[in-house]
Amino acid sequence: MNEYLQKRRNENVILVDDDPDDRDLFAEAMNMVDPRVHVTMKRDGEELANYLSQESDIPDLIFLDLNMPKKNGRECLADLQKNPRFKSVPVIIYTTSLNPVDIEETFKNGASRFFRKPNSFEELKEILNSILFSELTLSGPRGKEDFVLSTKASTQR
Amino acid sequence: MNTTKEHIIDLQLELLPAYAEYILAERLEDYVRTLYAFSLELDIPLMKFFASLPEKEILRMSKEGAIEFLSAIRDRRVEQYIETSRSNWVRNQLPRISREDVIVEDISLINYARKRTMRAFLPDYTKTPAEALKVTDEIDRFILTLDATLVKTYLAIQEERLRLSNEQLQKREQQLLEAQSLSKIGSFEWDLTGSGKSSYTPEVFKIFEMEKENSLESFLNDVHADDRLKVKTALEKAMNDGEYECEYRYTRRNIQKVLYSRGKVIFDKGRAATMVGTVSDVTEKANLIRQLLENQELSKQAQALTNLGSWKWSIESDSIEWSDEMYRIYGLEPQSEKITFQRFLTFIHDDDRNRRIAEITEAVRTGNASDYIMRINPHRGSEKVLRGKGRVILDKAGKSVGMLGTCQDITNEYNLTNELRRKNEELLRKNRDLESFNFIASHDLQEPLRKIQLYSNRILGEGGERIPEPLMKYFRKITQASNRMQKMIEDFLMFYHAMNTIESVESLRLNDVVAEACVGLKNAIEEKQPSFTIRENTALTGSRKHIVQILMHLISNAVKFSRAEAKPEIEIVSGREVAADGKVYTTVSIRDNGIGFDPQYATRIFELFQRLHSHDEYSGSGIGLSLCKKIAEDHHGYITAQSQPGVGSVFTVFLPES
Repeated sequence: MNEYLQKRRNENVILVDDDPDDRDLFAEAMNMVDPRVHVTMKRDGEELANYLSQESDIPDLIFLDLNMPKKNGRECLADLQKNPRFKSVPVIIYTTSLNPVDIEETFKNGASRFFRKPNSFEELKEILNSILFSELTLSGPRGKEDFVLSTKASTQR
Repeated sequence: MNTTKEHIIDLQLELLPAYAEYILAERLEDYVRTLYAFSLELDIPLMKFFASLPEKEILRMSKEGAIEFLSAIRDRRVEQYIETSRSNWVRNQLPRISREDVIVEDISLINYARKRTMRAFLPDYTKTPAEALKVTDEIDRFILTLDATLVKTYLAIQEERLRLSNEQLQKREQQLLEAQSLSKIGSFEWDLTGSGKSSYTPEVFKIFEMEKENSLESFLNDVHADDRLKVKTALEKAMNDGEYECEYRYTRRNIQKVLYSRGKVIFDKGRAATMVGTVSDVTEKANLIRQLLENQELSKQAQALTNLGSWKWSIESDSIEWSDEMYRIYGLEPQSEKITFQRFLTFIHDDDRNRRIAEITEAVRTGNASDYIMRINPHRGSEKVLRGKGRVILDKAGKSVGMLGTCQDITNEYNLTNELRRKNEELLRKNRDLESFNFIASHDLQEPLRKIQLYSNRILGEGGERIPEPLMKYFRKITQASNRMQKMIEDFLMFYHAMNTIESVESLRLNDVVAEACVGLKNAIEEKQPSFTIRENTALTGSRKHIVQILMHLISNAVKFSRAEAKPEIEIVSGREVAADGKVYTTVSIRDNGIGFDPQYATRIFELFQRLHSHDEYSGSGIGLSLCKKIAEDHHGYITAQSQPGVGSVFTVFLPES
């Protein structure tokens, strides 16, 4: 089991995504992978910023979409990295396209992992599973070669 | 000129020395006066050189001469005396007169005067007739000898003069000929009667390219056909009024010349006898004049062609000199009016006038002018934009006295630049539009597509058993179609990203780039197991990332379109090729033994979304080859395809070397 999940009792995960379908699918998949994890949904960067400024708890993990109205994921990532309180919270980019520019930029700006919204529900579950239960080290130094997460299905595509 | 020894007269004087002694001692004053009187009586020509002197002075000089003369006789030094007289004369050491002033009469008359004077005192000296005769004889002998010597000397001097003047004459003639040759002028005396003789300086023959005298007909034949009548008319006129002058073109021995001739006809008893004149070769001068005229014309044409005019402004006289083209630029007839500063200002566009005045004022103040651009309203025609360069003219004290410069009508250029700027802005805007389109394609278009895929997959996965088989087939079709669409969008994006991103080219080893391309094709290569032959003849010139991309597509195609019955064989060869225009390309060709295609599609396969096969035969979006073409063209190169159905295809990429 992942180190941080072992340490913490109340698993607290935030998903920032403007797409309601994706939020539902994510919640559903997360519930199926590990029902103990609590997912807080935020629709854009602004909502996230408001939430974090009021909440005393520091989240364990943030899933961040890149293209959102108001404040987008790139800006959120930059803000989180600048804030000493949240600097150590792992951020996983969760977005539609595998744009090389986005991958390069978010890697540079301190995101932990990058994964593309999958085409099937099974793949989504597979990835969330690997994040929560594999031996992935999300915080600390990471290599460029394992920055982008993939499933067997997504490599074949 | 030693002539004294030639005579045979005996100058052994016996009595004369004593007589001379007598005159010297007793009668010297009388002697001098008598000699002077005789000289005047005989009207010796040489005397005129002494006419300006007072008589006393003449007598004093005569006395000196007499003492010398008589002493020489007394001392029996007559031969020495004769020699001294001669040599003084030759060496031009005569008192008051120069060597050439002495004429032959002077010699005989002076000696006659001396003889008579000597004799005059003889009756007082001796009463002995025999002695008197003897003295007279000795006087005669002496004077004769002196006379002969001096006449000979005179002749020798004249002879030398003649020789010298002859030499001078020859020298002058030589100089004249040389001068004629140098200035290409020849002179002639042309006999017009037909019976006399003509003479020509050598230069005449040179000018006419002849060895000897020619007939008039032959000469006229060598005159340029268009100038022949002119020469004839000039000659006819000369026969009437005596003056000849003509310039004409002349060709002989294939040498073309322009000749200029002047002459005077000399008439004898009303008939033209001789023409004396000169002829000169003025070809160089004529060419120079022609070139100058051409240059002047050229400069005018050049100004008109470039719309470049020149101007000069003199502050003191408030006048502006304009070249013809300047007038044309301002819509005026060349030199049609006088331009003052005020007049010039009236042409300038209202919005530019004050600025231009300020610029000129500043230039005059500082002595430094800068380039300018201004709009004008010409006298005729619509608004123009002018660009000019100017320079301030300073006087010796460094004060600005005027300006000069050039000016060019750049209206077209200016409009074109504006148009270009507008087009460029439009292009930038379109590019931004394309950017947003790219964003839409990469995000918004994919978003719903992914949902279709995702929900279809969920239906297939979770409700599989409850859905009847025909409906299941439809769901699978939905999934396949959406997968294909996603692939197309992804390829399209790749195509878009490949645009204009070639930043630098480098020298690439074929083996390296092929190996790199194969990494991305691992699955396909493992599946079909093709054999590779790689022959690197030269390094490739290109952007690594893009060349790898091209190779990936071409190798992928070679694998994909293999024939079921033959194991894929792929041959990759690099080389160098010189195009028809001399440009050097590095090339890489990928040859396969696959299904090939009909050569008529060799161009069409490179078009975007063009496919030769249906989706159920071969997968693909129809973007790969257009991407290859795009990359080759971004390298300023190109790509070609050759094929034979059932045998295989060759794709060759041409990349400019450097």
